[in-house]
Amino acid sequence: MRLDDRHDGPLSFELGVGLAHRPHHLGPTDLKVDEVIGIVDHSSLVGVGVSHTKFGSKNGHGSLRSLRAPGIIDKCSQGRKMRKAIRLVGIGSLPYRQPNAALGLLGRKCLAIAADWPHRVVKEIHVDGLTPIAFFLCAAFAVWFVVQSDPRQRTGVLLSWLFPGAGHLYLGHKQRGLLLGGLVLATFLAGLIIADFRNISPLDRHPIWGIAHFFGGLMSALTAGGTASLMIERDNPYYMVGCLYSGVACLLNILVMIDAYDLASAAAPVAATAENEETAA
Amino acid sequence: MSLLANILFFLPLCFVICLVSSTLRRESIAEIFRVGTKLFLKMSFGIILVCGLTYLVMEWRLGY
Repeated sequence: MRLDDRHDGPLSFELGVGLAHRPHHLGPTDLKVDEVIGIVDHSSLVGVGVSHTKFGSKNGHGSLRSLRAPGIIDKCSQGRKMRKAIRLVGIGSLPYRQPNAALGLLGRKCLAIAADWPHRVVKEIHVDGLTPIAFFLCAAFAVWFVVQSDPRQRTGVLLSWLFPGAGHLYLGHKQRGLLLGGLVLATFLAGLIIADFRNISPLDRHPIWGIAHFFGGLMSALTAGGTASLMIERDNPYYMVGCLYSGVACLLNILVMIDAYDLASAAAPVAATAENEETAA
Repeated sequence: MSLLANILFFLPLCFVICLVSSTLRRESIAEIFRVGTKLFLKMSFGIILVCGLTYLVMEWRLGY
């Protein structure tokens, strides 16, 4: 790879390096009031918990851990002491007389792991395993489809894939094509607007959503090409909603393709019968 | 995001999903809209009910 002065389009460099992931912001939901000690005007004993960086994942989305020194013991009630003991020693050494507390802590840990799982899939597995498998399955299905379908079905599905509703227009279902194409396109555009036109980038920003964007055809390809130079410059709280809208629109295009295939299959016997009648006459 | 923002983002997307998924094997546009709207109402009610119950159970058992 070589880069020279005034090299405006270093494609190999862009593909080889990619964009860095943004740092995780510490928000109010990451903090939790630990315990309030019953002493007035002694605010230093009020603790907060933050994400445990060594539990469950590498990126800080784990269980809560107290920041306060472990030597401070609350003497208000037995229940408070037990809760504090559970938080400090962990679930492995819980006393047997506290099943409810154990279940509560187990539930919290399960919820933390369950909430962390999609994040780990997106961050760690997509390049190595999931994306090649998905593209291989899509390619195998495409080959099977080309082998077993007739030209009318192929053209209808291909046009629907390229642009939602175009296959229906080709098959003569104008109203249906306009309705489906309008719904899918409107959802896709809504996602783009919500995410500041920065959510369609199949291979670097969102590999998982890229699988969904594949089914958007030209809609995704043109948007990805047109918005590739835009950088994420502000923290948009609705960014993932935009990703969801655009991704769902592309996935809905699968249903549009299936509908076009269905209509082409239904029309094929009629055309064949008409041809047979003409031949017989 | 607030609960209102969640609902406002969820409902249109749910409506589109219901409309597109109800087009398969249906002939007329009026029937598609009728079935899609009915499906949207049922699905929205079901999802909101299940989410509310899940939230109440979590609040009761886990203290969230």
